[in-house]
Order: sequence, then structure tokens, then C-alpha cells
Amino acid sequence: MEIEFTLDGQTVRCPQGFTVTGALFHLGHRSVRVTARTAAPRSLFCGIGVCCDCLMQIDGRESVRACTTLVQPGMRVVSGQGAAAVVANQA
Amino acid sequence: MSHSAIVIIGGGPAGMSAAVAAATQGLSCTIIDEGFALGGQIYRKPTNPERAPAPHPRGEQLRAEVAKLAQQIQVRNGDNVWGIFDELRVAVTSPDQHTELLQPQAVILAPGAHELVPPFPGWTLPGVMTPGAAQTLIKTMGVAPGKRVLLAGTGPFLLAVACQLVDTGVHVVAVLEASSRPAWLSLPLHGFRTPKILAEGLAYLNKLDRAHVPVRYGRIVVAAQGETELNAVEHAPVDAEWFPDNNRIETEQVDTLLVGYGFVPRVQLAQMAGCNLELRPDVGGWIPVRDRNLATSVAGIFAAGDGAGVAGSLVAALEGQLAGMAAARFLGAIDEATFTAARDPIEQELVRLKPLRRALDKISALQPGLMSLVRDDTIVCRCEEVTWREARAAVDAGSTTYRSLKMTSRAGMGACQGRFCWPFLSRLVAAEAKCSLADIGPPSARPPLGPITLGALAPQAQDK
Repeated sequence: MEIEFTLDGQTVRCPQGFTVTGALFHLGHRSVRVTARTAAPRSLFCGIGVCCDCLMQIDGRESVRACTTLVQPGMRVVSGQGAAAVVANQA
Repeated sequence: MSHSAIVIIGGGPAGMSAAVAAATQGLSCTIIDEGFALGGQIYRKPTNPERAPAPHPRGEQLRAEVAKLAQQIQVRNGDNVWGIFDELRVAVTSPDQHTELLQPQAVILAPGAHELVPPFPGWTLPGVMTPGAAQTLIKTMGVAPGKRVLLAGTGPFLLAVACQLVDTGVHVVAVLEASSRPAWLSLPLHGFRTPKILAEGLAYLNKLDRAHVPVRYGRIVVAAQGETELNAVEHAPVDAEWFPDNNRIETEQVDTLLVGYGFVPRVQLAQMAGCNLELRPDVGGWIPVRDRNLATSVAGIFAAGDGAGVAGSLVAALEGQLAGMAAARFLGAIDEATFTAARDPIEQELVRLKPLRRALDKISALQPGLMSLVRDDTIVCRCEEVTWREARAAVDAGSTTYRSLKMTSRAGMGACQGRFCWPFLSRLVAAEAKCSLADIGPPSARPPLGPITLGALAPQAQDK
């Protein structure tokens, strides 16, 4: 069973029971956001919700920890600081 | 919602064992855990069972024991405890941002630990992560963290994760263990009373050997390279104090580096509750002071497992049992004789496990060379992107405490609340300012301990 959700506006799919970062890795993405100060890409780091490196905008809410959030059907996932980083990776 | 006599924070081996012990004595318990299911990090339950490997049998057994006591044990998964206030009031917010203040008669803290990673050039690149992060991807969803993976750091956890990567079909390039091979060869001397654990370690080594994964002792990662993602790692041999020989650097092309030098107890709740802390670098840093019965300095608050000093899952489960019984004794559910009879076998088992644990702590004790990897432009605070040049300037200008350094350089001010930077930044500060780690202190712990919305707090404010 696959779940459909959007990543920076593009429709993508992942298996059920995947976290957002798990889905991104499954889809071949690493970067989840770019930083505020130097616009550097960041990705999953601690994987257990402590380091807060994987903050994304999820269903309109800012700064959600992607590593501790399960993908839901129709979920809107936006990489930190907009689409640029993740879409560029997808190309 | 019914109010439990005991609130247990953390649903790993310590928290689950505590709940089972206390509930068996007829006490009502609530386990609050951030995860999707009970298990903690070590016994994580797959969120996609078709793709993930089978969960650890010890975790399955503990989950079953908790489930059998469903009349007494309430389980709240996905909920975030972000504060603990006077008279054991525990602030908890659910994923839908509903907030409650629980008021139990006893609290058992079993929050576990997070990993310890030193700052080094390139450590913020996507593709550099903790062994635990990779393990979580595998254990819950069967997702590989990358294609070509190098592991580096110290301790048996690296070997366990390397084996899981091999099982997942990932190409593990090597495992770099900072400590020397002779140090590790001395382990059986200390572990003869715990042959099963030694055998487990040996099985990891054999498996890696069969998979042609070299384990290279006395080497550390000195830098990670890449533009937008990791593409290579530099590593070097080290001396006894882990100072790298920069003339003998090797470069390995990899897309993933898993780096971890042990674990840091999550003491923020104990700290916020006013429990006395002590500095114990041998078990991960600051820990709550506990008596023989795992009681903290605050009446009614007990602490068990890695969150009270890193010692692994077996010790955590035993400490959980002891804390559960101690809380039952505290609440008058059992008498002194019953308590002592329960404590004796637990203590005997803890004593049996101790020599191996102590030896492991000694082998993997952080050495000063690890602090030599930082360059002027290396980020020391990941959240606020503060470089060592900036932090050091603040230290040199007199900011030698967490609070002061935060104010002057922003280091430690970000979303992780100093959890990831401070274990190493405090060491760098101590070396720079020539003061002791104990003088510098732990990061301050203030509510909320995790990210919650203002909306989660607003209804509480209206009630007042």
C-alpha cells in the first residue's frame, strides 16, 4: 500500500508507515531544508526528534520535526525555506 | 481522563519495566512516550512491518507484559512532556496540541539518551548523521540511510548498526573505532561474568568479517567533504589521546557517514524538577544524583535507565524494575520487607553486569584529541550556525557559562536547546578558559522542552 502526498507541491508516493524523513530518503532526497543564516542544506541528523535539524513545514505548520512525523495521505510537506533545495535535488 | 498514581516518562526498557513492576503491585501508571509505539530507541517497533526487520524479542516481550496489565497501565504514545513543575505537575501535549497538567503522586523519569557527536569540518552536510538515525530508518521502515556508508566513533553500538546495514544490503565501507585494538582485546578479562554479552559482540565482529567490512581501530574521522551533500570523508590514525596524525590522512568516497562517540543522558526534566545533578563523564555527562533505590533528591521523583547515566538496555530494564518497586514502596503499596526482597536479586544482576560496563566506559572514554578537529570556521552550534571563531571570541571576552555564551554568541540558543552542541562546546570552552566542566555546568532547562505551539498553551491560560 502506497500513500500519496505532496513534497514542495509535487505529488509523490511512499509506502505506508513511513516517517517524512524516511519517505524522503526512500525517494532519493537528502536535504530537508536550508538554514536561515548561511542557506546551507541540512538533512536527517539524530533521527529521534532531539537535534531539530529536520524541521519542515507540514500541513501548513512550521518547524515540524520530519523524523518523528508519519506521512499521512494528502499531507503537504514543504522543505524549509521553500521548494528550491529539494526540487533541485530531484532534477 | 483518569489520574494515575505514577507517571512514567519514557517508554523504553526502563519505562516499560518500571510500569510493569509498579502495576503488578496494583498501582495505576501512565507511560508517556514520544514515539509511535512503546520500545524506546533500542526496541523500536516497526512502523512498516513488511519492510522492516523483525523487532527485537526483548522489546516484544516487554510490550506484551505492559499490554497484559492494561487495566493498570495507560500508554500515551506520541505525547510530549515539556515541563515538570512544583508538586510533581507534569505538562504534556498531545500531537493535536491538546495540553494537560497531570498530577501524579510519583514520577519515574526514564527519558533515555541521545548521541554524542563532536564538531568537525563538514559535520553539518546532508549525509552525515548519527548511527542511531540510520538504525531508526532501518528498524522502523527498512530504509537504507545511503549507498556507501562509513561508520566512525567508539563503542559496540557502531558494530551493531554496521551489522544491521549489512543485513539491509548497504555497502559498509569500514568501521573506524577510535580506541586501540589492544584496549578492546582486554574486554574478555572484564566480561567473564557476562559471557552472553561478549558473545554478542563477537558475533557482530564475525558477521562484519564475513561481509568483508574492515573494522579499523585507532582511527577517527577528521573532516567531511561535499558541496550540498557528503561525498567523501577524511580519516586519520590517532595516538592514545586520540590526536590524529594529519600526515597520514586517508580519503574515502562515501555518501553517508554515521558518526557517534557514545550517548548523553537526557536530564532536562530532572533538572527542571530541581533534582540535584552531578557531572559523570564516564556515563555520559550530567546525571541526576540518585540513592540506592534510584530516588532523586526530590521526594517522589525516581530516575532509571540511560537518562540517569548511560549503561545500556539490560541495566535500564533492571533499573526500571527497581524504580517501579521503589515508587510502590514510596506510595505505601508494599512494605519494606517486600521491597527489600525484590531489590536483592535486581542488585545482584546489576553487580554482575557492572565490570563489563565499566570496562566499556573506560575503553570508549572521550579523549582530548577529539576536541582538536574544530577549525576556526567549523560550526560548533548546528542550530544557530555559530562557528568556533565566534564562540571562542565570546569565551575570550569572558563568556564561560552556558547562559553567558548563549547571550553573547547565540551558541546553544537554538531549537535543540544546547543538547547537541553543549557536550563538546562545554569541553572546548573549558580548555579555552582553563576552567573545569563542572564550573561551566549543564545547559539550562526551561519549559517548553520540546517544540509546542502557542495554541497548545492558550486553553491552559484561559483556565486560570
